[in-house]
Amino acid sequence: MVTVVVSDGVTFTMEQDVAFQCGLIADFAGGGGDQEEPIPIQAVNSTVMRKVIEYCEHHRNDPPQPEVPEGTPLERKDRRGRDAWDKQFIQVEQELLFEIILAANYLNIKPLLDLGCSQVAEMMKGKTPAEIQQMFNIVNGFTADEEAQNGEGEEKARNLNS
Amino acid sequence: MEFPPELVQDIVLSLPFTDIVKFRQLSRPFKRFIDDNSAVQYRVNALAHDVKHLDAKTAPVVDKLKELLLYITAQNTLQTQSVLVPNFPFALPVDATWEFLENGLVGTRHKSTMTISQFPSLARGIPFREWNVDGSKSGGISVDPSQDLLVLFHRTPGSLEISITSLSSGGKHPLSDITEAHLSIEDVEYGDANARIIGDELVIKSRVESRERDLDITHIRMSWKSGHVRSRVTMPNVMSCLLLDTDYFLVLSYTPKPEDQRRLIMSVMDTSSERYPQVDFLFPLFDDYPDIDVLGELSSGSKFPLVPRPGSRTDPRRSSSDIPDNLIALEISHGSLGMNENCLVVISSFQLFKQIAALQEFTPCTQSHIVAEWSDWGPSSTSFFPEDVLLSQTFYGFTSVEGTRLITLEQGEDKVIIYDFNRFAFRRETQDGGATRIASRICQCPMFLSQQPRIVTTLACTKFKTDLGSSGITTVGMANGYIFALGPWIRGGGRKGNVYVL
Repeated sequence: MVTVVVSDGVTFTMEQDVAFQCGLIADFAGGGGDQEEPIPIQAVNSTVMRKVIEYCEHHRNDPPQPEVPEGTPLERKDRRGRDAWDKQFIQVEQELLFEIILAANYLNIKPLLDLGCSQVAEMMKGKTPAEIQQMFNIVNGFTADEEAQNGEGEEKARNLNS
Repeated sequence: MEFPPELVQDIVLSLPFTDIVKFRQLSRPFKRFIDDNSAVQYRVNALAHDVKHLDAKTAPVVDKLKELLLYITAQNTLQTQSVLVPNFPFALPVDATWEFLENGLVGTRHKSTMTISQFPSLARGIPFREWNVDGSKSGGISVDPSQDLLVLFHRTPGSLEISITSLSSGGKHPLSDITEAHLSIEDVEYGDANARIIGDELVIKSRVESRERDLDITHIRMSWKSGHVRSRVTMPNVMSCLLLDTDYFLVLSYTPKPEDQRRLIMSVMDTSSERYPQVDFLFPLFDDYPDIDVLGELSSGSKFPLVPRPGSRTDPRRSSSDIPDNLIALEISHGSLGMNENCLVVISSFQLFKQIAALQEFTPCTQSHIVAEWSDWGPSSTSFFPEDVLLSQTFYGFTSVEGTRLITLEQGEDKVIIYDFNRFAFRRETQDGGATRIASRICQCPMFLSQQPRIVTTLACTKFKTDLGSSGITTVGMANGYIFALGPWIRGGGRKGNVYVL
């Protein structure tokens, strides 16, 4: 069994095969048996950790995934194949989604990281820059001149597509 | 909420090109992120590869092609870097000027239209360019893909000759009416692979071998259109330096007194004010005096998490959040200049160096103050920075840096090895053993830790062997996925230089 304590002081105890899907925890606990002290995970809160554990428990019996070259688009990595459960699992509020991604990055859970990132990409697909700016609350900071150039690029893009 | 760059990269890479183009329009930082990102460029090349290997008549190819063109065209319109498309196989159905040749193509900007023109040098191993060099045994190469330029240096007695050529032969350079520039600088003997072109300005650092064993570095800014030298600053006793920004230099110099020979001074120099803080840097790794060279900068997108040393007072991520966390590659070697026999490459974080500059800027500090700050972060007499990676190698060769990659040429083995630091996390092993067992106090900063970097590709350079023997290559450079190598002299007394594209 492995015990962790997260930023808001909640402790979680889980089976080793669940916990070791987190690269961070696996590194921490090393090869040896039970951990006496709870492992501190300061960057993650309990709400997010619950989701992460839910994910790891669902995938505990999955075979290990082969390494893929860096720079491979997510859609081609297909580390784990995305099943219906994953799709359902990642349907969460935007705020929580971002927190899950950051947690997966911190904890070093690659499949969950990929799942989160492709969900964000999914949310962006087919939307106009203005819609995406609104959705993610981005201030563009372009000058009027650059805006005009952007427009020009879009026009060209449309011509190409037609 | 701030996302680390590698996560943004993951998200971007899972978008189709149409959306990547949109992503560029979201904000300035995103635009810059896309334009500077080598993984996106890699993706472009991968797509071109796919296009070639699919049946040209099927619909997906046409779609992919459109995506690719859209991306190139949008970049073109927005005046960003050109995209190199290797092995582009067939005619493109767009209203632009196109030319096709079997060896390879490069896209360049031409006012509002785009030209894809011949880039025959991409054929493997065929010399890209030859020129005559008088009395020279040394040369340099610098490739600036964002400006579509190849800069070649060759040394002649008393001056440095520079040729600047558009990478896409046949196409005029978009910034200028000229396709080639030839410059000459007096009293400078060596130009190395660290030139930068900023607008119409060429910035080079050049080594001057003057008195005894002093090495002075001259920093020159000149217009590469007119050849007019705009400024020229010479720094004494410099071992090596790296241009950080337009105005900042990271300088490694040494004390001129013989008794202090092993003392290196690391400083960040602001060339506009000529005031700069210094940090003493005792070199612990070699018994005698090593050569030390700043190879270059490994660019953003690198996953080199900067985790403060436990107990340190400041966190540079907070104090200077706008500074990119690029990495600096240093090469420490034994052996004569230009031919390294025993070489150690140290990768260190950019931020650590910029931190010194920031201190100079924001506090009226004394040298001792900086030394104190530095010792929180930097080298003591026994170690480098905690985040450093050391690549210990013995090779007869040369090393260069491009994007997130470190390229080494091992001449003894006739091999080019590329290390990619993108998304590479450090793990530090403990003193007492196990590679997996990690001391718990370090675990508070899990990214602190260390491991050998990955070798991405090993290419056998058979062409070097057959054409040049194993002593001819002086330097390697890399752009858009191609490796350029410069062989300055050929056996049998010929004085010719070749640029090879591997």
